[in-house]
Amino acid sequence: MEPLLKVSDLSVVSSGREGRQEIVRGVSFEVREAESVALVGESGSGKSLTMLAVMGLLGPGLSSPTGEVRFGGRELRGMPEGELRQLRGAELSMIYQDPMTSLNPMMRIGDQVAETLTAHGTGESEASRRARKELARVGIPDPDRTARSYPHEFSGGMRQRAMIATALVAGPRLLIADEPTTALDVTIQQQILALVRERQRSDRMATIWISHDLGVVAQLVTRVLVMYAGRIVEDAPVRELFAAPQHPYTAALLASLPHAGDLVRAPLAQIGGVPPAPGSVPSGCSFRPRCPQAVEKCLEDPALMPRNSSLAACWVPREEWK
Amino acid sequence: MLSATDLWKRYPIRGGSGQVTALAGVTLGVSKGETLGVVGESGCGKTTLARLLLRLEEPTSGKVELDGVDLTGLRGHELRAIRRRIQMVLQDPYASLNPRLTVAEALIEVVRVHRLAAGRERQRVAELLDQVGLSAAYGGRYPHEISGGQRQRVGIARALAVEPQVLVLDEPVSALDVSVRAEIMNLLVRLRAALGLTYVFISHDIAMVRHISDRIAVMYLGRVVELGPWQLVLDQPLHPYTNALREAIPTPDPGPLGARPHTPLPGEVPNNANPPAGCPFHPRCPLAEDICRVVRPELIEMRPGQQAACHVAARQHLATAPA
Repeated sequence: MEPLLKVSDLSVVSSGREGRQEIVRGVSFEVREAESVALVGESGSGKSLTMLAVMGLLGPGLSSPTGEVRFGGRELRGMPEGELRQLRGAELSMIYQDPMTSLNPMMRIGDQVAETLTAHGTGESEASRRARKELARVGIPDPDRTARSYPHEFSGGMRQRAMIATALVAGPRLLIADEPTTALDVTIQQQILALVRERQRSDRMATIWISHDLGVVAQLVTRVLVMYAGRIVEDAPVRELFAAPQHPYTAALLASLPHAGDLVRAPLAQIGGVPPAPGSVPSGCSFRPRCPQAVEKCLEDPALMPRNSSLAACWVPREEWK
Repeated sequence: MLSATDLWKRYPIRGGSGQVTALAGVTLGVSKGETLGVVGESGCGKTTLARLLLRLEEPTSGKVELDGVDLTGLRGHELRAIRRRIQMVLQDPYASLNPRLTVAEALIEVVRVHRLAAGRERQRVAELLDQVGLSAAYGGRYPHEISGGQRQRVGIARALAVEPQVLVLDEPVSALDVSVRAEIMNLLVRLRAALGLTYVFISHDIAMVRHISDRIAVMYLGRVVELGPWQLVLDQPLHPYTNALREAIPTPDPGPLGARPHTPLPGEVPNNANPPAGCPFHPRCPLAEDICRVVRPELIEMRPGQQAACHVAARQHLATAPA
């Protein structure tokens, strides 16, 4: 069966003062129906731009010269903007770190949720009824009253819930969640994660979690894609990734985290160096200058290759690591 | 060494009547060479506490003492002398670095203002860069030319320039990339040992607080609700709020197949203009009883060195203790 989303050889380039720079460098992956996947990377790794390119929402100065994006059996690249807009919101939705980037401060919450539906042809009163029902489902108390509130009257956690309601009200097949809990307090973060996880299960909705934090996604997804310097360097089932990472970068990231149960607090493992800036990505494997496993062969660019039940872009199999 | 005693801070509500109580009777202290971790969510008062410890603001009531000298009410050169002994490291050093000064110029400025190392300022700057693990070449760079982790190193070097005894670190690694956090944490641990520094480490990141602290204070709505040695507070918490925070630590482990995730704590942090009666945590507490809605629990010692403000925990832990 064809996957719900199939991205092939996607690239994103910026053309600014520094000239033309390739930020996302040929990314390929698939997401199946109802699957929950994480796209993990540090800032500048290209994870958010990858998903914006998938949505056809790249900002000014950015373009995507290569790649195919098949969603639900249709090619999104080259689709007329009007058709793409119909798809976004209805079948393909996105939520963000800061709800104010997608909520209109001048518009009542209930109207904003309903707008997703009216934009796709639902009648006003039916849309309003479904909007209030959706507000209740995302845990906003007394929706008949709160639907008339404006975003500034809500707390950060409630705004996040309202944004989730606008993203989910039309029943999308794929939700892209871009660090939706980073700005929230930990106890509120747990509530929001539990809410999206629950909806993902009950609605059989596929979800892509974009995150810089492996810890946050560990209990949310079945598969993890790790990005480094504009490439996917590992694509692995979540248990395999944590138990036996196949790429030295993934291994180094995991080792640098403090562990909750440690009784002896040894110095944290450091990676050393910094990720390369776009435009100065080293040739061959881009992690090579920071990699403890690097060998001569790493001067050649590695593609994703099968390693146990994972894919890793590394010439050196884990069994041969120092 | 540095202590707060029954510290209160109230702010008038802008454009309205009434007051916000940011700190409601906080008592805690940190000994020389020790690291006190302070955790809590937004609005719990941890940043207000930092500002009062540095005497950037006056408390409404209560005392802040450094080596027995009350800082509240100090003026002029006495205050400046104290300020040299307590320095702050912020989450985003970019916001506090002058974009037109190179790293070395920024450090020289601090050294000059405090009339330290007269005649050998350049040498002192080289020492500072070396202490924070930056090569001398970084001295000539501007803030925008260096990475986030390097900027945080400069922020730390600037705090160290005046040879302080205490560093108040407010979310020092929260804005950094995961792979860089470990370096800064290791640097802080190294500097603490090498220079005999005392830290107050404020963060919402419980895993990092657990990694560096000797003792941990958990704050909720302007109060300390639990205080004790790091292993006890985070591994055997007494207060149900600490327990909820501990369970919310994102763990880099998917857990056993089919494991149920923890039930998240319901509700939101109440508004501190109008805190709940009784225990401020009772509206969200899974263990709340009638008494919790009426009587405010005091912070009392329930295990050696470990204090908590909870009626239920007090009954469980003190009932079995000898009278």
